Amino acid sequence: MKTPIQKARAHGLELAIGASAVVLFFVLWEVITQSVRMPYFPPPSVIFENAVSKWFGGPWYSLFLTETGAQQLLPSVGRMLVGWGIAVVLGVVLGFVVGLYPRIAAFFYPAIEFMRNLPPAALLPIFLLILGVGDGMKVAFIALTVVWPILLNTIDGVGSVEQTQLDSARAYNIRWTRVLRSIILPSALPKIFAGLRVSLSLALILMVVSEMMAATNGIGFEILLGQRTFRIVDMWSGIVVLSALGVLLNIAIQALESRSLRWHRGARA
Amino acid sequence: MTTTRSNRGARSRAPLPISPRERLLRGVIGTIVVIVALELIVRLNVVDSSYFSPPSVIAGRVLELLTSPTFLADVGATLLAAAIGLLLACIIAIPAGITLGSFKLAYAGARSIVDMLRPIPSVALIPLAILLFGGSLGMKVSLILYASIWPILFNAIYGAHDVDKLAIETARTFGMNRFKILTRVTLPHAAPFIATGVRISAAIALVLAITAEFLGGGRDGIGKWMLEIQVAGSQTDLLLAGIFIAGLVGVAMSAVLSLIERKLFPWYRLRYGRTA
Repeated sequence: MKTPIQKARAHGLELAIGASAVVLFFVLWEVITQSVRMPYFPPPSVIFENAVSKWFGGPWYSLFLTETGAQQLLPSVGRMLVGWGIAVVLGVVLGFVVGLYPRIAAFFYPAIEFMRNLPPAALLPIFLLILGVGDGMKVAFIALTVVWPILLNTIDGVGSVEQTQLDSARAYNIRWTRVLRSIILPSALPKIFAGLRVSLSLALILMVVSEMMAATNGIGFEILLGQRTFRIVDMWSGIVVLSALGVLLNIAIQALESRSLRWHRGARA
Repeated sequence: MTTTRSNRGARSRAPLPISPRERLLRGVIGTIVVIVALELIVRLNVVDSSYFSPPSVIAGRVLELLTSPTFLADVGATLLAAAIGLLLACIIAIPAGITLGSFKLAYAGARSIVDMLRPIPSVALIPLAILLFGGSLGMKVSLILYASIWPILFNAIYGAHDVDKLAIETARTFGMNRFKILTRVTLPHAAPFIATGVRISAAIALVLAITAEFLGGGRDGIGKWMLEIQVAGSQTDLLLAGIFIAGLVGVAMSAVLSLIERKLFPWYRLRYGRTA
């Protein structure tokens, strides 16, 4: 067994190694791209400088975004979050209804499973055809393609409730609204969050896909435009900003998850 | 591990779980109902028929496509790209994952870089891949490789990390060297985890192949075919038939891979239950 001090030391060593690995990564990237001039691989210093001056040089009241930053980033994030939000509501509500009645759910499993397996990009032409190229199309496209992981995970989570707990609740004549809130929801929540996490990163990807296909603004559009007009640094800084957005979203959903599931680690370990 | 399965004796009053046969029956009935409902919705003009074709018409188109050599060649091109990308991802991710899962300090160093690279959405790299490879096979494969490497890597790390320390100590006591411990203890334990990672990555590979063809202007493949149909316009039935076949390919692929998984590692399900 390790003493707490030994543990802390090991942890500190791991942190130091992790940090130096990142530094080494950037140094190598800079040195290689500086010494071997490759037209499509600008040095990271140039990319990050561009990212800062193009996207994040703005005043605090516009969230430090520059005018371009606000004009490109906000519509993207808006479409994504609205689409994802619709999918969350649809997926969780339907998932509860279907999950509470497994005998009825069995009727729809093949259809749901099939929908989940459809490659989202393949659906894009149909959405373009029906809804045109506007924001509504992108929101609907995101919502209807990221809803499946949420729906299936909610059904799974609701179905995984301990039968003994339900039986006890029935024996004590506890009202069904309370059963739903105090028994079913908590035991379904870990699975639901797993679905939310998957669908959020999927939503980011589909936001980019829909913007590359048909848009006049947005970060996906900006990256593609950079490539088409051979502004390679702009393309790279778009990729960097998009990745930063991905990291932020991931941190946000993980924070939400660990807040909502604080009891879970202990209860099921 | 939860011990939820131990006290299932007292579930006499609980609703009976559905038997596999009844589940199948209900699935078939439900699917037929959905198809008939779609047919009626379009035939009764609830939705515009230029937006959605009746399933009966789509079925005819599906048969047409399945006998069309050019379409099948496109399906083949997509599958080939997905397979090459997936294979390369395995070749890189499995040894890397096993190494990282076995050595703590290597893991500490690699994790920070992995955490930094993984959030880059694969599709954001499509423009870069176009610059580097044009519409060639390399464009698709590089994107597929990037996207499908992560699930395999994480599952390999987890599988290698999860090995019972006592088993390794025991193997060492019996005089096994590092290589033998790797092949006789670590690999067999990590294999089912890796297989799960490969199955998840296979689905990603297929999706990304089609996306790259669609957005990147690939020379062949399902995505290119769809783009052509879409540009030509007013062939909704053909488009829907193509989407249907793409979905079928996805379902078939994941079914085959989970079957292989179950045949190769029958003990895995018993120990770890359902794998998502």
